[in-house]
Amino acid sequence: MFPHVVTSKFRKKLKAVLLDVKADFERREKAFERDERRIKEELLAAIDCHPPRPKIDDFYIAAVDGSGHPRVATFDDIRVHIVTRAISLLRTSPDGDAPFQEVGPQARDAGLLTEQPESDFFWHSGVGRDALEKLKETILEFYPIDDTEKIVLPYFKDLLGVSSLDELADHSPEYQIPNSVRESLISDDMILSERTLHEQVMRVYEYAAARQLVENEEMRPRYLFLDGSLTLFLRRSRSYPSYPSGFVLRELVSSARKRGVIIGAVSKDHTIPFAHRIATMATEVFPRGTKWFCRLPSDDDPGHGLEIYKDRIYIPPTLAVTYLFCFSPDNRPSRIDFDRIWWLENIFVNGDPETTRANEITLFRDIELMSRDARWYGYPVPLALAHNECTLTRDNLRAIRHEARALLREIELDFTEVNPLREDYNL
Amino acid sequence: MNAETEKNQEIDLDKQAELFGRVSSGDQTSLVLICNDDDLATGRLLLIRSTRGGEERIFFFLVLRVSNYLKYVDKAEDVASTLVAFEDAYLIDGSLRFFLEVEGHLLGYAQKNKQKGVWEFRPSKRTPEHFAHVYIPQKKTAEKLIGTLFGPQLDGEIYVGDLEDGDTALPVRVNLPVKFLPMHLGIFGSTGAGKSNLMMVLIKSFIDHNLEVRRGAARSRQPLVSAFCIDPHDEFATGTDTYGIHDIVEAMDDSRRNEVMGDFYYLTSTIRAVPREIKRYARELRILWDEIQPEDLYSIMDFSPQMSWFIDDVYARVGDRWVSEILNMIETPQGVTPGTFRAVQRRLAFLKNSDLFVDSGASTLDDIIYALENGRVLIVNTSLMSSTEQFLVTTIVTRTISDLRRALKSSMTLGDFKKQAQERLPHGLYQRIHERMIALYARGRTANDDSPVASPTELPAVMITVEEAPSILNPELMKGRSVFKDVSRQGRKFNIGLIVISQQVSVLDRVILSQMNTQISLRLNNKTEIKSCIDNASINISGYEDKFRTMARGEALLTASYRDVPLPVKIPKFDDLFEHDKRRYKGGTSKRRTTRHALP
Ligand SMILES: Nc1ncnc2c1ncn2[C@@H]1O[C@H](COP(=O)(O)OP(=O)(O)OP(=O)(O)O)[C@@H](O)[C@H]1O
Ligand SMILES: [Mg+2]
Repeated sequence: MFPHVVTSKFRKKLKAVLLDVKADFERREKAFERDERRIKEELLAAIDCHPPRPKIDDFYIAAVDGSGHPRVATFDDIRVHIVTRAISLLRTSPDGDAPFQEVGPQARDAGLLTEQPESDFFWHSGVGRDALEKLKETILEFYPIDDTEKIVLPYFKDLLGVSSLDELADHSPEYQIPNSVRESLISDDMILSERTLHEQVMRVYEYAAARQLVENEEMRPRYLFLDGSLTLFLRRSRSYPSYPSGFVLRELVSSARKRGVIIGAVSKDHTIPFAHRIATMATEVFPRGTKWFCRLPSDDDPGHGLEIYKDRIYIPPTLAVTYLFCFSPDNRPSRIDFDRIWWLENIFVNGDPETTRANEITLFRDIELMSRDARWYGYPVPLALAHNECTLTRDNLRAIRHEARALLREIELDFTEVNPLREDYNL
Repeated sequence: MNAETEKNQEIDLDKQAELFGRVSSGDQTSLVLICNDDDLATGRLLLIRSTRGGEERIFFFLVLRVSNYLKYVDKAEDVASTLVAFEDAYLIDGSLRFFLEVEGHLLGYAQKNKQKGVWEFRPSKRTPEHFAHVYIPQKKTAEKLIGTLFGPQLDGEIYVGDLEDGDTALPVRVNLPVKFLPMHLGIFGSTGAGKSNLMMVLIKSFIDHNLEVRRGAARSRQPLVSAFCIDPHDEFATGTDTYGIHDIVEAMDDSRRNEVMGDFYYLTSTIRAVPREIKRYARELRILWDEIQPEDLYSIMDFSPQMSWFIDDVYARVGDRWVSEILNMIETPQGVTPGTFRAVQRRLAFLKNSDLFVDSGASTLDDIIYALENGRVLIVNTSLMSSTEQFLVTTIVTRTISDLRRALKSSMTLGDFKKQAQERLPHGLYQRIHERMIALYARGRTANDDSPVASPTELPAVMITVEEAPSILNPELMKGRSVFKDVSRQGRKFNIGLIVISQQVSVLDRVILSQMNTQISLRLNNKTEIKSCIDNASINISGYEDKFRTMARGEALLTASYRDVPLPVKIPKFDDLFEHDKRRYKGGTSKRRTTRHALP
């Protein structure tokens, strides 16, 4: 046993820290108290749900999720990454037991979902700028748009209303992007950790699949779910995304909007402060078992943002709207982000909070209907399906590495090491 | 190897079978697969393609356990309780997400012999790799696929049934080689499991084989098969349901019938009780007391050492007349106690009241022996006999034929043989039969004392059924001098095989059991019997307990020491088999059956 645990000095130190935490907590508690009424009266809403077998019109719903591992094989300073992704595509099912059903075979006929899950590889060495160069190449290889300016533009278009990158010159310095970003989405001075690099490749691989779904005409989904959030990390003192995936995400979101696809990014695990308190509040306000949602307004909205996340610059993210929702008494509330531009056009009605609320309810009523699969009750089923399909298990990884070893032997490449399974990355 | 056989050996699983799942885990005997959610019965045969080490191998996998496997669901009970708790909950029917977890045995694998261009089967000493493709044979391709890959495991001249695949039979015939019949056959099954039906199927196959041989068309040059079939319920001739062996006899034209069945095939203790149509082919079974030897009685009844000493003594003095000598004694002879003497008389008393065993008159034993040496099938209705009579008939026939074969085996010339046979056989019997036998045993045209004799292996394989086997093949009787002990050990030498039929395995003598190189196990009801059956099988079938428990009537597991895998077999119902084949017995035009068949 760790002998210090019982000493008084040890306890004193620990207590000091916990007191600090308490003080911070109380400070935020005060913030919550200030927000409480507004949340209760303006932001929190009950969903009047669809009946078990509702009459709804015919549409598709979809989700994309990705996964991967940064070290399938390593040789000295060379790393081989694997990225995986899966699409799930469902359609309303007028006479099934469930209101939706998977459309595997038809989708394959339409050239979608031909391989499920799909995977690809990415490698780089530690030599000079090799990783950055490989990242640039890979993004363009994965994502179906070749012209990088077309990927960069949507962000600025949605934010500033510009119609070409040249117009940025008319805006303040924080919007001035270096040429390298224009040409490759990446600023040359960027330093990437192996983890970030992997994350970038993975995200773009995932968004590329979503882009395919948006682009296809035959089975274009009405709702397309992504795993995570619509968070854009911005460069310090700059007002544009620090990573290429940020631009790609905005390109995806804006093309979805143009084609009438509603994108929702969902996270079960999130750090929205006081989410549990909001959930408790919901149980007090609504009858037992009520399914609810709660908008987390931004400073641009009427009444401004909430106190509880005042110091959290990414809540809600730039160009996004964030809600908490809870469709099952057994679940913690989840977070969902929508594209703010779509939201302004389709949900929000300026000066008319009633209609806005009615629009929100209609939206969540549909999403709730998609979240009743008994395996993942309360969580959108397309996402659960995609998630399960793409996730690499330890066994998968072991098998992949085994295969890699066999292939190395086959191509007669002497390798120093194929990483043993020690770290547990993104599993 | 010609082009046609070469072509016949071509296997393409993707075309000939359906991809069904993948290997998940396991070792060289038991394996777990993940398969499509389909209607899969235990007992089905799956094929696994392995390319490990660059060699294509096709593994045979027998399904022993099937359970549902829901992907992404650790606890199905959580999902079920959610469905109960939330009325609006549903399950998206993603057909890809329901799977079967299939456990079972690897039976072995087939690998192509590149030189010979044929697939060869090997017992499993290997394991297919992770995620190897699993195929399910389709009905229409199964015959070729399994026939090609599994061939030697199924080969033989004596049809037993069709390879069973779960709860249906594949159109793949399972046979027994004639050359292994003298290594004895055990048929085990509880009452109603289908033993009698199986015997009828076997009898039919013996007859079919003999037809083939006499037509000169037998695929391999195998000898004829004779059988002495005890029929305690008088059901073989007329059948348990609609058809019986007699219908085969009737279906033949005269010349063929004469050739294959001879002038009789049915034996009974009283000809009066025989239905008219069968009477023409029936004989009344009579055996003279002279033809009984002490050993015959020792084989079927318990005698104390004092009793057998007494019997042996009488036999040494009076020879063949020993039975009447003892039965006619009034006084206790010298050298025995009155107790022993009376006990012996009591044991022999049944002979006095027997219609079958007579002191004088005509014996049928010589006709029986002659028929058996001629490749004929005899059905012995023992329904009107006592068990003791039934056992004694079986024993005498077995011993007589084995004495003859033994004499033959140790002779170079007919002259030798005559001497040997005379020593072994009862005098009267020898006198009556030696001329006829000599004609059969002579190798070549002439039959004088210098002529060489045939070897027993060129003569018909003689199969003798032992019904209600535990009464005579129990450890007690087998301790003493038993005709069956000898035959079970040396049957192969003399080309004589036993068909041991029993409802119980556990009570049979272990030495006898160990000599059963072929075992056909039908349904067994109790644990002890299942265990004995598994323990006694000549190949490892541990793990098959469940299989035994779920066997239906007519389902069997065939194990043989000369084969690598246990074969699940669906024994056809004799009626269906006969319906299907009956035209074959008609006329001279009938060709060798070319259509293989599966019965409904
Ligand atoms: N292979 C089979 N397929 C279908 N039915 C069968 C099969 N074998 C036997 N049966 C049926 O089962 C019944 C009993 O069969 P059978 O008389 O052969 O059993 P058994 O084992 O000899 O019983 P016992 O121990 O009482 O003599 C018969 O009516 C027969 O029709
Ligand atoms: Mg029977």
